[in-house]
Amino acid sequence: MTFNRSELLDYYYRDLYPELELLEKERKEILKKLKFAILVIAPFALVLMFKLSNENNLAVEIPIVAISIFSLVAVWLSRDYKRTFKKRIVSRLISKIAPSLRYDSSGKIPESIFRMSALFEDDFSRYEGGDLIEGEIDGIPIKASYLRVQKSYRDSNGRKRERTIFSGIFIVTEFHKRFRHTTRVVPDISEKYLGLFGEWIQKLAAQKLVRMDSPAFEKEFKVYSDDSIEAHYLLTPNIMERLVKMKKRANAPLYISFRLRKLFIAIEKSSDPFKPSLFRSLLDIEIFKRYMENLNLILGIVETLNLDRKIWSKE
Amino acid sequence: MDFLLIAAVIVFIGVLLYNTLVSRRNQCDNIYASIDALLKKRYNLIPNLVTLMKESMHYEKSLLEKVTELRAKAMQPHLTPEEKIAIADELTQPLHNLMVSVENYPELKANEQIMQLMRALNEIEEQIAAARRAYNQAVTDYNNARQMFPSSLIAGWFSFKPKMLFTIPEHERNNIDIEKLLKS
Repeated sequence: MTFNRSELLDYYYRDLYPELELLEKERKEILKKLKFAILVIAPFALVLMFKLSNENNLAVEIPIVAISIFSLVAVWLSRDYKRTFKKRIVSRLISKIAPSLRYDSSGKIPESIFRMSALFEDDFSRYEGGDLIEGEIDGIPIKASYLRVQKSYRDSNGRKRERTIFSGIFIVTEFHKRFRHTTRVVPDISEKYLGLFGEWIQKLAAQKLVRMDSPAFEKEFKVYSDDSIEAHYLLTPNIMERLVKMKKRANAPLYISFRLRKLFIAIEKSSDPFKPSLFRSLLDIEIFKRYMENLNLILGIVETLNLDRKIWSKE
Repeated sequence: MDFLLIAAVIVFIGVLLYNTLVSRRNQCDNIYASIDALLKKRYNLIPNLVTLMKESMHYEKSLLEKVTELRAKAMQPHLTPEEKIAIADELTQPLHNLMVSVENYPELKANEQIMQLMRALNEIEEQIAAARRAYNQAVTDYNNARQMFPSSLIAGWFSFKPKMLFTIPEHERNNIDIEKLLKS
């Protein structure tokens, strides 16, 4: 998949710009409505806070409730805008780059595939996603989408809370080598988060920690596998170098697993990678560049990891 | 009482260090056993491959002879692990050259039987390369533990012997795209 940036920038200015201008108008309309919503919600919240100032607990919670109401209004108002943006801009951008790929803004990677990766806890309570991209790149089948997986729990006060297990881009594809065991590559942050994810780290530790022979790779990742030779077979010096580069480019935590003949890649992102900006102009080239970066991470995966390398062992 | 406690702690640490050394040594031995199995697979493939290639590869006669000779050497009984490693290392380069030189012979590329053997050989070579790296990593961990204080004391008392590393040929650091070579 060759990604010609200057050609895409031309496409952006020539074909997408008029659409973006229309959407930009819509965005401004939504902003106006949101400003009005603030004018209604804020005084109301302030009066309530003032009245309830004697009851400490309630007074503290009012701003939280007000912000939640405001967020709900923002989501509700921008529903159509978001849908139109994905249909007219993201979808066209993807078919421009790779006409054979299918894009479904509301589709997502199925839960079964997420579980199959064995990269994250599979005991979750909420599973959401979007921006499903599906098809073949350079002959390699690929499926990718945004996912947000959460688990609800009760805090020490008995209140219901939600913890994010994973939020970001999730990709599943094929790897060009045959393998039998499970090998997981996870960011080397275990010690930092040992408290929070202790339980999960322990589960991972049930597999053997494999030390790899690349200092640059070892600095970024930890490898767990049932078979250290197979881990070295899958993670050649070349692939390790490419993963380190990918991690640097993504500038986000990266999780990889080789399991059941498939390669799973999860790139942590705090929000939907193709969410239209609401508080910044859509015409801002920097915003467009961000979409391009995210698209590049997904569509460039075959090239980045050299997945179309034909070797004699797997035809 | 204090003395007993200190002695108990020292013994406990000693046992831990001893067990670490044993588990690292076993790790090396396990990987070595896998390498041995892979090398056997490699040696089993060579005779067929050489027989099939001999007729077409006129210019690579010496290369084929070298491969056959090294294989015969490797098949000798009672070789020490060090000797096995040395022969396996020596054979890697000629085998690699053989795989690359196939590109000069279109008739070989058209032979499905040879292609199948080449695929199998390529997979085994990649597995051997991976196993060598895994072995070297395990040996480095073991040798480090042997030399570092305080486990070096335990290693000395219980005579944990140093282990030899495989030499990793430069070309193994860069995978070759054989399919591309064949097409060219």
